[in-house]
Amino acid sequence: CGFAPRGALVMPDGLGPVRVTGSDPYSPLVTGVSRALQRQGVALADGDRAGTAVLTLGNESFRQGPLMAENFSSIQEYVTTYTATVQLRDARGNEVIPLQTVTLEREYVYDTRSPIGTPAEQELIQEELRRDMVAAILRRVDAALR
Amino acid sequence: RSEDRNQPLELDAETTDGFLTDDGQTTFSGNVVATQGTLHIRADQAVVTMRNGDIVRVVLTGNPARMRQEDDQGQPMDARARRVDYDLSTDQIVFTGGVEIEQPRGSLRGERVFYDMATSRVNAGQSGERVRMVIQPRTAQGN
Amino acid sequence: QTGPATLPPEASVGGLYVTSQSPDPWVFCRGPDAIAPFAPVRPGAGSPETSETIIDFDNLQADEESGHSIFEGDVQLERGTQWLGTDRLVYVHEEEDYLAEGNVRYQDASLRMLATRAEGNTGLEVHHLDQVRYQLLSQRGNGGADTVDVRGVLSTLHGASFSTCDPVDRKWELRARRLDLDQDEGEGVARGVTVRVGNVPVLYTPWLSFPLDDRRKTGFLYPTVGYDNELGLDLFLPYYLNLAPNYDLTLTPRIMSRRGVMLGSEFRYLFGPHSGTVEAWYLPSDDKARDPALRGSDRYEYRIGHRTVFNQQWYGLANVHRVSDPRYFEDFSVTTADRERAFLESNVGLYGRGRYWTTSIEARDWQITDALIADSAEPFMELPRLRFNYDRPLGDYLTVGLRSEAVGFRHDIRSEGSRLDLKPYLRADFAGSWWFLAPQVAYRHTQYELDAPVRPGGDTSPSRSVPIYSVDGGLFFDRDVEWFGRSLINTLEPRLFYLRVPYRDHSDIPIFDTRDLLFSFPQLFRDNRFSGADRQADANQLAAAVTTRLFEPGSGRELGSLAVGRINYFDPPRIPPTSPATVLNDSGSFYVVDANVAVSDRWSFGSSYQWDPASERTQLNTYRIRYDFENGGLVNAAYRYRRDLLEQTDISAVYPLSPSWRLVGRWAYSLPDQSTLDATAGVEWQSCCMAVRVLGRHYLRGRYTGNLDNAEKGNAIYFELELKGLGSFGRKTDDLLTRSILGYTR
Repeated sequence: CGFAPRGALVMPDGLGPVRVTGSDPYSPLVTGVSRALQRQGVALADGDRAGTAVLTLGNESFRQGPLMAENFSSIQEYVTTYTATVQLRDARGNEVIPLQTVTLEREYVYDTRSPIGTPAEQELIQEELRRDMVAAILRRVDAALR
Repeated sequence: RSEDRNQPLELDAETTDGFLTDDGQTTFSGNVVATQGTLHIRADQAVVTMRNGDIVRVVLTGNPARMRQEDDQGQPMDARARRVDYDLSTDQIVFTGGVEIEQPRGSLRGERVFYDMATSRVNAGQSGERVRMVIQPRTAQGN
Repeated sequence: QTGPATLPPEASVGGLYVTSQSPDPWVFCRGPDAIAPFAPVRPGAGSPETSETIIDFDNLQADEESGHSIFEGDVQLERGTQWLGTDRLVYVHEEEDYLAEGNVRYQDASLRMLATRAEGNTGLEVHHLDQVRYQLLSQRGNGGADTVDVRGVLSTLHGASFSTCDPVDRKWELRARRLDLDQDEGEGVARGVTVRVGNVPVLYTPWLSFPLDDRRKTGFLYPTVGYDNELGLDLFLPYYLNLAPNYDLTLTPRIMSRRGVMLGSEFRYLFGPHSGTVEAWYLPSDDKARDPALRGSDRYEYRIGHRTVFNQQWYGLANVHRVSDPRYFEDFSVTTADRERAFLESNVGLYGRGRYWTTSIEARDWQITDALIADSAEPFMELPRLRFNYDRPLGDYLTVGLRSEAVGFRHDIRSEGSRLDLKPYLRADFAGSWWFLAPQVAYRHTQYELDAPVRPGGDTSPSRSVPIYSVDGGLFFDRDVEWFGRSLINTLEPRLFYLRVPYRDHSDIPIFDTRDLLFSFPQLFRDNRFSGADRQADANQLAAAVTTRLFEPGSGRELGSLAVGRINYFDPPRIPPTSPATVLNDSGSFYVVDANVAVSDRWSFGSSYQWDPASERTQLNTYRIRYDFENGGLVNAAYRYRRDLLEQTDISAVYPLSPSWRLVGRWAYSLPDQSTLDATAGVEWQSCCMAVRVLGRHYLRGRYTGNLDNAEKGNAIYFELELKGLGSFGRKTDDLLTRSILGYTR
């Protein structure tokens, strides 16, 4: 049916080593994406040497809201949305991948009669979303470079 | 300056018509240059009217005629016009035709400007044409 | 805000379909400016102080001695961006005083004025004008005044009028004895004010401030008027006190015709790294409370939101929200966000993070705000709650880390205790472009100190330690496909997740903060069926799933995805769920299908489905469809079925009849009860400078427990009159609409 193993993540030729930076220096996203790129065989530029291609991961934000509009049934369905932006520029600064927003969502049920355990579930969801965002960004970069 | 009046008047021109006699008119024409103290004049033609040995009126014409003088505070005034009618008896000057008067404080441009040295009053306009005055910002004037 | 602080779900805007464009409020204004520009501003015109002054005129009388110049005949004075036109201008050079008389016109970067007479001093930037008509440029504000005194950017108008309506279509106008406009601060303050709509006086107030641009919070926040069949006329009269640039206070008396006067106050502050808001509402000795037990008692609500940023790594948060009694929201709150909350969470904490670690030291407490819930159901107070997470990459493939938490659980009724949970782990991530393999081993040790054993004679310091082995692996295939004439990338991603956790006896282990996790697609790849540390599920299972996605090459945008999966149990799980409602089979989990498609910018569709092979019944069945019209309208339709929990439809729409008229509606219906959960219908009319919204709402007053018919229902009417640029009167409908209609924006 035409499916073939996915080819290696091919950076445009002449791009050179890529430096992964993020607006938040302590965000695990930067570490995660860097290691994932390395595993795909992409050369990484270490430190912040100027003059290298830069993959910028930015303004990560979590938002919680009702999945369906408000109502009073005791079971409220909520969704946690995690967004991050990704952009790739080459060494001279022109865009290889324009600024894009990657959005991931997870649903959870908030039983208003017994919220015990809901905060713990939210923390688990936020951690999963962070890990999945690394894969989602890689997919986005791979497809954008096709 | 007011004491320019008592300075010697030198006048130089290519041709002269008349002999600066006590009464009557003398016309100088062709690169007329006149100086009297801080007053400098350059014009194509100057008609000087004398009465009882004193110059009572000077009419300059040129394209434009130029007249430069300093006031008592040493501020220079540089005027240009096609015709300058300087009546020494009333100390009044009338500039007409493409008048441009430059002073450190600003400039005045119009078709007719009347300047009374005695009362230091200036009138501009009455010529049906627009008049423009440009005043430099305080900082520029100061130094 | 990416900090680990987790708040109970505020009802913010619906997660999925939020459009963020903010329409220009003046889009409806086509009329000419009140005062057309007098003269084109010369390009590159500098600031007045440093520009030369050019005066054009017909004639001049000047006296060099006194420095007086009198210009006459269509005098036009231009100084940088300032322009003045008048019939006659007297100017004193030295002192820079001027007097302009006759057909005076003034224009600068921020406003235009017509006046009969003007005098002032150009050096000191001081001007006085008589019989003025003005037009502000920043926000279409225009009007007239008997006199105007301008000092630099401050102008004071006496006997002034102000409106943002086109002069030809004066829908509303504010008249004030005195009006101070501060272009720098962007704020107008009016005194002795009457506001007229049409020619009906709507409001008189001795003092009122409003924005000249949208920078600052408006001053007098305009009464909010509503009607509720329980509270009667419900009037909020907020006064804004701008105490200092970095703190302000808003006092809001709330007059309820059937309940009396409640005083509200909101104090906002920003001191260096500290910022926050303190809000409080207080109704002394409420003698008309519906619940006789509360009659005569004080009713209050207070909420403190504080944040201190120490540095990029450490910050402190405090979110305290308390009410006087469980029926407070039911009685007084009309905004749905507060009403449907059964519990109010308050927490105070210090949060830190570093290159490979995050930590937090918190105290967290809850308060029941729903009279139907027993005190014993109140979650434990967690004091203290210490957490430390560490994830250290080693080389290219390994990661070593720790999840650790120490919590003191306190409760008025239930027996208390403390818990230490440590979970070190080691993970390897091997991957190529078309495969990945991630084995992980962890060891979870959880130790308790209990005041009383779970079972009579049981252990008061039980502990549980268990190894957790898991292997995650997957393959990636893709191909190019044509789809509706577009060449796309279609991927196929099979994935397996094996989990092995030996059984441990939990009979001595209490339940403090643990609950069954809602079964969903991500559940396939989790190492525990429970949230929280009190239960670690035994497992010998293999989850199999396959996901296919559609990508747009070039942009990389994901257009759609379909995921199917299930967990197969090699050994039946032995630890029971915490809630009897949770279904747990011996052979395996439900089948789960998740599908999302964004066909175009207009259409998007989402569905998830779960099927229980054991009982051969559907457990979850949901559909979500959204369509965006070109003219800004939108329709959401959703159906949600969760076995034994809920079956609801929810249809909401915003339909613009014309650029000015919009219909908004929303209807949530519960099928098992054949009854409406919530219905809102309204009409919105907008013009250049005014907007009117009328909304009717039928809603559930209290929580319903299954039987909808006997649940109390309320009807409310919301009326809002918005004077654009001045503020709005009437119940704030924006908040309600945004939350009940997904994707609604003004």
